[in-house]
Amino acid sequence: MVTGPPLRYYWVAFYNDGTKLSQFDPITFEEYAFSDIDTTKLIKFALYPFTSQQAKNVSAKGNLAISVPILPIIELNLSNGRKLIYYRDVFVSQEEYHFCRACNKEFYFGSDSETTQSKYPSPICPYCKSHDIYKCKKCGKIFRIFEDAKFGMCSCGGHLDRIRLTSGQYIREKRWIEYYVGYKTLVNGVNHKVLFRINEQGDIELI
Amino acid sequence: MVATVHIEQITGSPGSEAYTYKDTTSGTRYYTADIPDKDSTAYPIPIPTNNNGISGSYWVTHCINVVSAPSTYIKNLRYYQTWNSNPKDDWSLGTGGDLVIGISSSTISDARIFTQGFPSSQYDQATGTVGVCGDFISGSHTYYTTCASPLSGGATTIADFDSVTNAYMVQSGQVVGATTGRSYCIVTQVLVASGATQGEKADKTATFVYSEV
Repeated sequence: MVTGPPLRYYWVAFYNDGTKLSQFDPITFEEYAFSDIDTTKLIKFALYPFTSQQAKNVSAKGNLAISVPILPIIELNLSNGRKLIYYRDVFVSQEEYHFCRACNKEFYFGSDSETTQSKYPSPICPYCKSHDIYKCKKCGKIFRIFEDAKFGMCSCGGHLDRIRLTSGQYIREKRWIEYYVGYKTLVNGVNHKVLFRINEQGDIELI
Repeated sequence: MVATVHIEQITGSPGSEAYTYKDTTSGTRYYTADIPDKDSTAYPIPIPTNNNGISGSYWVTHCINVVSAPSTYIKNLRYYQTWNSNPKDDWSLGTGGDLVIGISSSTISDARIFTQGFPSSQYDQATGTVGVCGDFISGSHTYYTTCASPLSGGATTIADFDSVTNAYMVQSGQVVGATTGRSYCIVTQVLVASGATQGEKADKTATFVYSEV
């Protein structure tokens, strides 16, 4: 069965009495819900990447987690009446992939992928630059694209055969997570929101 | 727990509808029949021969199924597709051809904020003439034709929802709490016009996004 994408971060809530609540109990690795956080005592909220042992223990309890120790630590000060915002955006994407029969590599085909400029476009392999070609059924002459043969026929009078090198396609499912953390605060009676997006590579963006 | 979510396609008669799990290698194809097959070559969509004609596929209904519960909730389910330029040009669907999605709001900007999907209790089976043409979402889909002032009669181009920042709001607010269940549904449909080129078209990318804690 397909599960969700693996977690790369876990949260820890720090309280004003010196205690803290971790998303995963450090002894049992059972999970606490976000709603278990006592927001009346909250002074700091942090996202930490899993250590390899933590990831192993959390995964053993049924929550898939992986360790990427190079991810940055995210710590948010919540003093001065700041109200925590935290959620994860989970992406479930059914994506188009192609297989190049020239170099035997698969490649993702997205909106910025290259295709031949033709009435019958075909993807250009990003590795070996191959694409579908046309071959005369009579003399075997090769045409790069359909339009290279006048009237769609070879000069010998033969019809063309499309050799499908890169147009073979299939679907792959990809899942990933973006983490959002920030706060709301009231300044001079006006609500202000500060929100950061952290992707799975650890890039942080203020949005 | 972190939720486990499946994409499902819904076919069949309301009340006894079938939910087909679109797994990691199983996409969706548009036919002139109400079938969930991923790669059949039966029931293609004929290219209209008259200049103003448009043939629709049968509309296709999708939802997500939360099969293991999140620890707190899942909310704000969104949907978008990725194209090189747009369905009409990428798939050479002819003048007036498109890939459309059911819409209940009167503007595209509202469709990115307010719920556009419908609960599974209002699922409506795709209809038409098998092998010939599907009925159009705008004009035939029970939910979208009964909405007040929907844009374009209830269906608009998917090209308006081409990235996560421009995503279509399937279900705003909570989809499920700390429990399992299905989301609201979306319907999409291919429109093929005269001048379209025949043949199997390239697969394209569709993405569901939801917020979870």
